[in-house]
Amino acid sequence: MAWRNVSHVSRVIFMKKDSKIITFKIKRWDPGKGDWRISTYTVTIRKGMTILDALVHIKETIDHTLSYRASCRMGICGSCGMTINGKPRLACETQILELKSNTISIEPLKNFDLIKDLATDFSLFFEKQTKIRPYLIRSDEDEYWNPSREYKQTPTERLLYEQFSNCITCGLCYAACPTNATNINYLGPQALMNTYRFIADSRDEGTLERIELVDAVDGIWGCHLSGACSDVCPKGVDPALAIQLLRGLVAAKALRRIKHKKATGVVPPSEAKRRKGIPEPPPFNV
Amino acid sequence: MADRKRYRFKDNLWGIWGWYGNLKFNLERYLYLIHRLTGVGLVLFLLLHIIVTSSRMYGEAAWIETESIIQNPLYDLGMLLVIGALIFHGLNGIRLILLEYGLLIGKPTQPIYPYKPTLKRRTPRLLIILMMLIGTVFFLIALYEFLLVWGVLS
Repeated sequence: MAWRNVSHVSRVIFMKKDSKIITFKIKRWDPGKGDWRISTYTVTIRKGMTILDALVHIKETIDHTLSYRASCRMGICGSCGMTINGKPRLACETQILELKSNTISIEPLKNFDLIKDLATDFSLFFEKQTKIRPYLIRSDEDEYWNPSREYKQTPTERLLYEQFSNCITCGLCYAACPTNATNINYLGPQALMNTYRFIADSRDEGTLERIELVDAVDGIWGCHLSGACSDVCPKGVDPALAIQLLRGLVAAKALRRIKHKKATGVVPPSEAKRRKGIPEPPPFNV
Repeated sequence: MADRKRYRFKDNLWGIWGWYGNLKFNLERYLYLIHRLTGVGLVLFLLLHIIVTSSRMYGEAAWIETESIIQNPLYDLGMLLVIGALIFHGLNGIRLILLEYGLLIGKPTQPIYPYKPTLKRRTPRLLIILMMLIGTVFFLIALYEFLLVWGVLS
């Protein structure tokens, strides 16, 4: 049919119009020599391709020795953080044509230790993450380890920390932070944000312990509110906001306006009743 | 905490360049940069100021000699820059104090794409505009005084 042909032709034109030849300049770390080298690749890009797609294409067809880290390719795992055109971004969430440049420079994520090429070592980052105790601190030990019921929490209470719990630990905030650029002992936006996330949680009782952990020059007072962390965050977590709210809490503690927080209690799980007409599920057979 | 032998950070730290050179970020990042530069400038001026005024210790003759050195348009221009730096650093400092204790920064919300950090929302940005307006007024007053001293205006 005629309309099909037209549609086919228009699709071809569309493809030609939206494909573009782009040069990638990739700054690679050579662990053997302990030095940098820059590799240049030319790739034909179609509309919709991300930086990660281009890297996969380069590794499969041009240079098998290129190393990078990526996993889920949809902005959930937080593995593919890179410095793309001078700004930390997730490779899988960066559309190439939206960068609007013919030459794209890719470097490993700054302020992290290097492994090879674009892959960076997150061990110090996670060390800091562990240091701030990223789990609920409760006084009821028995219930904590052998839970019999649910912790009570209202939707309003959940909204206080929901934004911060979206963090995927991709490390972009850490790479963008100007304090981390010179001070490797600084806890970093991610760890401080996570501290506030647990303090704001109504189920947590460790407010005072957590405040003591971060009330230091390398902790909460290292932040100078440049807002770069929130600017680069791919999940809208806004670490800058969390750090300032945390600082407000630290100040309140200094003024003795904060007392030990008693966490919300436990409640039995809400019982769901089966509606009429919906059959019982078959018995478990595994 | 960090073991410097285990980590080869020197190869990949952004360093001082991370403070000054990397400017592909938001407006607050520029304010951060200017705040640091003016801070360093003010400390240097304080040293200069102490050196200049300390010449008074060595008697009247030394003081008159120093005065003759500093009474030139270039020094006055420097003073104008110092006043500008002082106005910016002071007002931006007030803005930072207000925001850093979580007073005007806002509340956590549900993040909905496209994400908008709180610093880019209305109140913090209005604070910047207010700061700029007050600073401009102060600086114009200072400029007027200087123009009177230089004899450009009568």
